[in-house]
Amino acid sequence: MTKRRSLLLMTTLLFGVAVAAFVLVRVSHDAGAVELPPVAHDMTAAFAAPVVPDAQLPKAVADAEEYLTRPGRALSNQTRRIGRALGKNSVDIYVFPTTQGKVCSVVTEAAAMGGCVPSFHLVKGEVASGVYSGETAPQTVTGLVSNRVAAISVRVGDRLEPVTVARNTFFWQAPTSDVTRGDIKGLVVRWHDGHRFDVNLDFGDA
Amino acid sequence: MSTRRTARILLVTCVLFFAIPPMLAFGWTRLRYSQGTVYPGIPPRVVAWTSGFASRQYNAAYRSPDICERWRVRYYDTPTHITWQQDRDCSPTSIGLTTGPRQAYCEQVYTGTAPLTVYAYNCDTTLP
Repeated sequence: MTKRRSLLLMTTLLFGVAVAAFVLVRVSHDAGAVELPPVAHDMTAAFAAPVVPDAQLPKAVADAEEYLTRPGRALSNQTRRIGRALGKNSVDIYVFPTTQGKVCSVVTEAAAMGGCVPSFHLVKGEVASGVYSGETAPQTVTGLVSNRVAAISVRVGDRLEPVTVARNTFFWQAPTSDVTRGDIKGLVVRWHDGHRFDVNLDFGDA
Repeated sequence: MSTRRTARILLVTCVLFFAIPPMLAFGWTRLRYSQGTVYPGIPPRVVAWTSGFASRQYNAAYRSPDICERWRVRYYDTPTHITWQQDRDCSPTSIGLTTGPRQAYCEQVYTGTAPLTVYAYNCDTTLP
C-alpha cells in the first residue's frame, strides 16, 4: 500500500468516525435533558406520559411535526401519546413541543387534525379546543387543557354532555352524523378551584 | 486498487451522501393560496379557496403573532361538498393528507371576543 493510499483511507476513516460521533452526540443531546416550553409545564400529566420515539411515530404525526411547526421544528423525541383508541375510528392523540414555544397536537383521523397552543392564557377557561368532522368522522370536539381544568361538558343543542379530561386532553364525538356543526354550542369548563367558564363554539354555522 | 479508483469511489460516496436524502423526500410543493393582515373588528374577514382540485399533504392557516383567534380549514371534493373541516383556537389550524383531489379552503371565524391585535396570516396547502 502506498503512503498516499494509506493517507486517503485514513482520511475517509476519520471522516466516518467524525460523522458517527456528530450523530451520536446529537442524538444523546436530544434524548437528554430538554427544556420544554412554559405551555408544556401547564400540561403536567400529558408530558408525564412516556415518550414515543420519533422513529416509532405514525406517518401522519411525523408529517405534522414537519408542517405544523414551521418556521420552527418539533423538539426531537419529545412526543407523547395522550389519547388512545378514541371515537368511531379509534384515533390516538399525540402532543409534541416545538422550538417556537408551542405545544402541538395531532388527532390521527384519516386526514390528521392538527393544531398548536402557544399559551393557555390566550384561551378562555385555559381550554384550546377544536371542532372537526369529515367523510369518516361525525362532529367531534377535542382539545388541550391546562392543569387548572378539572371538568368539561360539551353543550350539544340544549343538552350538556360530560367529557372525560385525562392527560390534559378531552375528546367528545357525536354518536351519529345526524348531529351538525350548528348543534355544537359550546363548552362548560370547571377549574379545580371551582371557577366556571362558558366557552362559545356557536358561530352561526348551519 | 489504484489511487485514482479509490478517489473515484470516495467522490461517488460523497455525492450519494449529500444527494440521497433530498431525493428520498417526497416532492410536495407548498402553495400559499392566501396571505395578508387581519385588523380585528374590521370586515371583511378572511375567506379563501384554492383555484383548483389536487391531492394535498395538508391545509393550514397560520397567524403571527398568534392571539388564538379561531380559524377554520376545509377540503372540498366538489365546489359544494365538504369532505373534512376543522375549526380551532390558536395557530396553526390544519388538516392532513387527502385521499383524492381536493380544494383547500380557509376562513377566519368571527368570534367577537378576539383581542384588538393586528396580525398577519397565511393559508398554506400543497401541490403534488
